[in-house]
Amino acid sequence: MLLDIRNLTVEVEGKTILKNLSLSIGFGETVLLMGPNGSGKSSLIYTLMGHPRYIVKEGSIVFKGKDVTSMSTEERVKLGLGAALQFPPKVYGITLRALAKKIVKDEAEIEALASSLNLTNFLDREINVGFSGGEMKRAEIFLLLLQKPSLALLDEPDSGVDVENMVLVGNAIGRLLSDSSRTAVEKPSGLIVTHLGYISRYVLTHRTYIMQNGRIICYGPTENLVNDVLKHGFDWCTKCYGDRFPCTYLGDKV
Amino acid sequence: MSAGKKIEFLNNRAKSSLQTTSSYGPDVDLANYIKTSNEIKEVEDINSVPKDVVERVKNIGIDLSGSISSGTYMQVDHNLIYKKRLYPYVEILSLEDALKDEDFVEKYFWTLIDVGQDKFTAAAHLYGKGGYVIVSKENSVTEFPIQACLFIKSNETFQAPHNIIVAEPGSTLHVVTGCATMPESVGLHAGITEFYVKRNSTVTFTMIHDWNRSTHVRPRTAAIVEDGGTFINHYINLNVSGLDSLQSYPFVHLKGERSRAFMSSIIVGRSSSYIDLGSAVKVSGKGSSAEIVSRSVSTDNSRIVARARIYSEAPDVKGHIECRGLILNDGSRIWTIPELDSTVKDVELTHEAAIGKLSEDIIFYLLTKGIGRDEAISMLVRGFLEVKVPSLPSLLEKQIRVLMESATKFL
Repeated sequence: MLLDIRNLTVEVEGKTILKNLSLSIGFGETVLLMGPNGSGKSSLIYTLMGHPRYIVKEGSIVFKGKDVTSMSTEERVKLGLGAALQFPPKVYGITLRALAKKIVKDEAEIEALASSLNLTNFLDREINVGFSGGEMKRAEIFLLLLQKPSLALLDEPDSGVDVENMVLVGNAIGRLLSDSSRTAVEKPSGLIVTHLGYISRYVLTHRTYIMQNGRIICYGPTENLVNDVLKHGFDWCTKCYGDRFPCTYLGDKV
Repeated sequence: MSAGKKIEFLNNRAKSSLQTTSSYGPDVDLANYIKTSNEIKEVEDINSVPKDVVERVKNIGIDLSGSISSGTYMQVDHNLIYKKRLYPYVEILSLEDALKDEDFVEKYFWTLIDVGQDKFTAAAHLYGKGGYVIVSKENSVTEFPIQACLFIKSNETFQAPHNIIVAEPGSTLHVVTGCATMPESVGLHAGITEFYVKRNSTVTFTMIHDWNRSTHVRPRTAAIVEDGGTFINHYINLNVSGLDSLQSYPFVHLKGERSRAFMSSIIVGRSSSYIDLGSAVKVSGKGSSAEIVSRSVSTDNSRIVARARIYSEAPDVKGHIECRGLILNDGSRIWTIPELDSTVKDVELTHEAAIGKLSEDIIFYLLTKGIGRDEAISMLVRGFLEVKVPSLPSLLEKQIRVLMESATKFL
């Protein structure tokens, strides 16, 4: 396993936001995490990246065989975790290029990648200052492509993005997760958070997890599960979970 | 008043003001610094500038090779050791030479600053030596900045050069001045600088300071701007060496119509430095505008007072003050005092002031991108200190960027 989250309970300012959550991702595997707004998806990403406000009360996070539960963000990133945040902050005084150059030295690589994501004109602007939703997403993917993480955590890459940007973002994520320059062992894994599921049209994902109220309530093969959820809504999932436990997808695994 | 009478008046007023304490900043006992001083010596050859001085001034952006400047003035303690002019349209003189001209004395010597303002102006007049006079000729344009460097090398030195900058009508003049001390020196600096920005001329004055821990700095600066003139003053003190105290409150009088002032200061307080720095603009010319921008970062036990004042007595005037402070640790202090004052109704004077800390969310964001915590903080501090100064030559902008890069590494 590349990532193994076991029975994770997390609090923010005394409020429990993740409850007894377990999830795992194999080497080279990409999974989808779906759930309604406020179900705790972004909180999971912040927790995985080690944001100091997210306090792990119980459980563990093991990444590449190392217990990272109490590691600093710096150490986690060094180990190969990377994230594209849903709402990255505006960073006044630092240009996108300046940050990119801290990640990779090669200016030609920066220029080429920026050009492929239509970001050339944004390189010398302050990060996310005056960027549209789609531009912000592209900038996040751009930085992640430079970082080349072993596990890419992508928070809502398809929300607030128009159709044209969706193609760009979708293809870029596809490229990120199927990096042909890296060997099979190094092939990156992904955890893609979405409440729309559009991204599944661009990226081949193996499994999908459904989250509700800070818990994983269901998981199954992406193909069937995403279609069912998009068709019937998350409520269907809740009903399934509530009325016919164990649910269709989890079977008797829980 | 004739030149002779004026000097006599100045001497008397200065003598009677040696005990007058400044309205701002901590007091300094002049007796510790004022000793019998050397005469000014003039040296023409760059090779006679001591190597250690050359290295030290490089850190504040002064390049003595002469390749990127229109002229250079360099003073070490009381010695004028280097003076060079590369272009005929700018005059660089020592003050001593300039004062031989009676007309000059009457017009420009202590005209904008009261010699009896406080003990520092008084002592500067009575005991200060040296200083430069830069005059840009009518309708001339300097592409490269004139460099002026004032340096304290020996111990217990009182350095108070009197500088006078005159931009004749229609001229554009860029001056960059670096002031520094050798690490082991103890000193008091009280330079006097008067600017005469004449009709439709532009002066940019970039000051880069790096004083050491045992230095007290009390510069006294004033400018007058005539019709259509622009005065831009950019002060940078990254305080790499952590000075003892600094107090200054430059004053600009926008006397002419459609005249303009932009005053910015970038201050980093380190160790136990006490910095009280302001900019004041008085607007009496119709249709004029003034902008004051300050950025302060405090660390350790440093204290920074950032003053800004715009006073308007003319209509159709715009003025804006922006004071921002970043406190990096408890125990340091930033105090911003923006003031707006008007006696006419047809003005638009605004100010914004903010003090805060670095956002943890932004630091976290940079950490997730693989930037180390220390580096993330220094990048953010540097970004915070970035001020877009109008009209600066791009070469100078680049130079400043390089300096900022290296100076904020230690934060």
